[in-house]
Amino acid sequence: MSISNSELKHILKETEFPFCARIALGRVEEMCTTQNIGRTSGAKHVDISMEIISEFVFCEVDRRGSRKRRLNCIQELQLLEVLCDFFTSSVIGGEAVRNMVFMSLFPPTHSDRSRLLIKLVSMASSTKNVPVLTATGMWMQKLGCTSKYSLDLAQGLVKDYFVLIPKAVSGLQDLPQLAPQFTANFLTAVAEMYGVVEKRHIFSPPPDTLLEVITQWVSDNPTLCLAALMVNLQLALPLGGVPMAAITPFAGLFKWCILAPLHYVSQTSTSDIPTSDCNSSESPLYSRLHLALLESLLECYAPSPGLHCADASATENISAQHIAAIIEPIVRWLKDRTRMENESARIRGELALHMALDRLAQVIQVALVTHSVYGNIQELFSQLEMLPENRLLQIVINTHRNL
Amino acid sequence: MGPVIGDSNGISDEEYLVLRAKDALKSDPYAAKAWMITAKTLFPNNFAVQFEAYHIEKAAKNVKEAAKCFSAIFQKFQDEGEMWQEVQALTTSLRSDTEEPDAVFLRDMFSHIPLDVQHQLLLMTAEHSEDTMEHCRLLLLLLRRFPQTVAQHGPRLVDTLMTAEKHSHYQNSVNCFRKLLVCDLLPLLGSNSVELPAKQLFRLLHKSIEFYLCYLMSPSKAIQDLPELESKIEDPWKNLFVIQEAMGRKLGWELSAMFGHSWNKDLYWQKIMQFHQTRALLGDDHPSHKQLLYCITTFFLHCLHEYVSTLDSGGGEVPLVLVEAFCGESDAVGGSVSAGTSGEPKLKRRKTEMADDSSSLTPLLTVARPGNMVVVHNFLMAVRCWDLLHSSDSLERDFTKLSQHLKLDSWLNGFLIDATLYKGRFDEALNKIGNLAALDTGVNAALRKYLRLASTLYCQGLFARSLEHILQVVTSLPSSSILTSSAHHLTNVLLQPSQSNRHLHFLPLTRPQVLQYCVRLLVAALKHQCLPKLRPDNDLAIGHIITLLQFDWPLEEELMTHLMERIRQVGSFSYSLFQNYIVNVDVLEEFMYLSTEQGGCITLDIMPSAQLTSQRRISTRGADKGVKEDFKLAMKRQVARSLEPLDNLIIKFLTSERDLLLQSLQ
Repeated sequence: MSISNSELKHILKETEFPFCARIALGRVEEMCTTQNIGRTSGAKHVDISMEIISEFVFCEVDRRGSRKRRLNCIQELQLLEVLCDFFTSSVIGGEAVRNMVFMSLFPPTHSDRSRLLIKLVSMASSTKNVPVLTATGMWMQKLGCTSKYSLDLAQGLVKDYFVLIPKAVSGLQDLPQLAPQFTANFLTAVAEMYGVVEKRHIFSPPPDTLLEVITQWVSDNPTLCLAALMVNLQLALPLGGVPMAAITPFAGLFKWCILAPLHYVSQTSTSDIPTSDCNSSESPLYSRLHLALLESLLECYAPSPGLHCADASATENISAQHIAAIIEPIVRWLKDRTRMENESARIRGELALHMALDRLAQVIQVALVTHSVYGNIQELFSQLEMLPENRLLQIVINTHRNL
Repeated sequence: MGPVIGDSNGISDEEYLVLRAKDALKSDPYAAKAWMITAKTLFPNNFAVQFEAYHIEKAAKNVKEAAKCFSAIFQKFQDEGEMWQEVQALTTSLRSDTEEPDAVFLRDMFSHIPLDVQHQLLLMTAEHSEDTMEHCRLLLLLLRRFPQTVAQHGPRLVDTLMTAEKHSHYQNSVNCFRKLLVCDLLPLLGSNSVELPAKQLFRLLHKSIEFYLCYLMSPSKAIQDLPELESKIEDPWKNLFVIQEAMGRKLGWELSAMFGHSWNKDLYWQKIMQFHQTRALLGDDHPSHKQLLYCITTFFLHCLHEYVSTLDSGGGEVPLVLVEAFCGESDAVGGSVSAGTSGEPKLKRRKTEMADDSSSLTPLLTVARPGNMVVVHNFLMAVRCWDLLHSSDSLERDFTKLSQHLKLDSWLNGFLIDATLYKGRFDEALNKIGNLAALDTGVNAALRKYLRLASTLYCQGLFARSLEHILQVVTSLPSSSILTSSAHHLTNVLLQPSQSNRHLHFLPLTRPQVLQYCVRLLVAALKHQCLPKLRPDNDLAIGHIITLLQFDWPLEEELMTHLMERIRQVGSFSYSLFQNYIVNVDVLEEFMYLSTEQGGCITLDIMPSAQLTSQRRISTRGADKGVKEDFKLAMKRQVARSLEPLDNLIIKFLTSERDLLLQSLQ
């Protein structure tokens, strides 16, 4: 370390924004590097780097620690540029150090920075900045893909970016190849986000643009959903860092496909408008996404050469519990359905129900055959008993209960 | 979807799933596929389910997916009839190049099937095939796609094809099994390092030579029990050379390596001679004996084939026949015939000549058009090979055996006549021509035969007998309408100044050229018979020659000058046929001149006395003005006929004046 921290602070104070941010980032990187190789003890360094980041990168406090005015738009843009450049160029400590710096910049304690994080990831997506996206993927995994932080990020990205940019499908087509782990974690978060049940609805459908992008991604990249499992996290995380158990997007996305028929049939029966309205009928994309997900499961079971699953447990990528969570909304929908008295609505409801049950049965069948399910499978089977009779579901239950 | 849910109670689970998939296919192919994936994983051992999955992929034209399904089913359910039908449709599509969409899809799909499954598939289909031909074709397909399997299946396929041919009792070797063996399988075996017993290799070599010879000889180029499309063989000699090279390599033959190059014939010959000379001392039991025999034979047959096909007008050329022609410079023709024309201008050697470079004793060979020169080359090569094949007893014995086996006789006959004529063995040539007569029935066979007889007898000095055949030639001449259309300008090629004492010519069988040859042959015979002697009846022969010289006038103007000089020396000339046949203006002018005082006032008895008013001989000396006027009138009448077609005039002369011609030739 060439200069002391007080000297550094002095220099930084003399330097104008955004150059001070660049220098500060370099300093944080240095400290993370020494910390990573275990030369210095953590706590003190963490405090110092937190101070430096707050004062000279985000410019949240002045030297006396009191709050400053927020950065204006131009300054924000300058800062985003500095961050993007920094992650692209920083190679000293490798991926682990880069992830540490990223963590330090956006720790869970600083939810106020999430607005900037969304802007940073949006920028990285459009400029195809792989290092930033990769670090973001790791960040999501560390904090949990379905945690509040990840969901906030995902929601922000969808609202600010995916829905806004024209031709999202073609523009984002290569994201799964560029940053597979980020894309997979983003999928997991987004799936969770729209799978959340609101009152009177069993499922809040994602915007068409997003659904289209996701369907394209999964169809074109059969291994995408497994990407979160493919990375050796211990190498990418700081020494002693513990990642959350990886969650794949499978269960969440399957939930969309299974509940979509029920959602749209409810819409038509409550709104009294026949199916002509495009918003009120199920998009054919669900059928395609459903198939792409099933094919992804098969792909993982019989991996193509060059793709290696780390070990046998790597195929266990859907929790039985998550599948079971799909059953509850169906049961609830059945209860609500008693209100439908109209004959044609009743028939439509019956068809939608069986489409949902057929898809559910298909998911269970393929997931079980490919050994993708972990957790309490018997519990899952007993929950299936609550559902109305469906021939395929019965075949699947009969096939597997005896095993 | 509606009816399915209601009416599906009576069917099995498997059928239910297939039904749902098929039903979904109409409205939502993605859903159909999802159903199929479910069905496939639920019933991995149910053929109907797996096969339906394949059908759905096929209907959707998903080549890769269909290939995946097909491979899986093929490995699991080989005994299913439906699957077997599909396998056959697939292998059939592989062997055709039809653009039918189903076949195109299947071919495309096959390329996406893993290699080991492809291999297994072809092999299984071949083994299941009850039709031998089908079986062999499938195995060939396998070997072609998987050269590494040649060693394993190749030798067995050789046996199968040979046995099949034997049991089919074909009349000759140009049949479907032999074609597959020789044209399709042997090149594969040849390029592979698979080992075969020497005896087998000899047999395969035999069969190949035999096949290609028969094929080349067959006019229709049809192969028994093969469709026309497959019967076309692009370059038979190249193929045979490839086999010769490959079989030779397997037999450890050094010489056969030359068949791997596309050299010109001289280089092949050099190679053969080098080999022959270095092995000359080794004796007949040495292994090199066999390779010499086979390599020369193949090369010989190649030259022979090209030679024979040029003679028979392969390639749209006019057919040819080899005949004795005439030398200008030398005094002797054919050893016994002397020509009186001295002082022929020494012409620069033309490109259409070729003499064997060894000595002046070998005859000069010429052709009518420079483009035909290759026939001379092939002929000389074939003669050399033939001589080499007969240079030792053992070679001769083995070659005779081989040629009997290959039934070479019919091919060799024509060539051997030409070779004996070339070598001046005229008695033998006459014999061979006689024997050939019964066999040869081609369009030009008669013409060729009479020309050969006339030519050979002429060489022997038997002019009267030669004339008989000339007359036969004249009666079997092609009609003018067909062959004069090529409007040959006659040249003096038949008469060559030559160091050697003989000249042979490849005569095109066209009306003017054949007629020119007959004329020249008779002129030469008459010259030989009459000119050296000072007989009183020489006038008749001179008259005949002058008549004949009109045909290709003025090519032999010099001879005419010589004859005129002779008449002047004698002082008189009498020819009773003058009025009938002498119509050439130049010739008539010469005679007019002879009758004048400057011309020497020669006594000419050339008009039939019956026509003369005074009942006296035409005489230039006479004071009788009337006679002189008569002569002039008669000559005018002759000049008026000068535009008559000469070929008909000459033919009429030959056929009508046979006796007078014979008289001069005896």
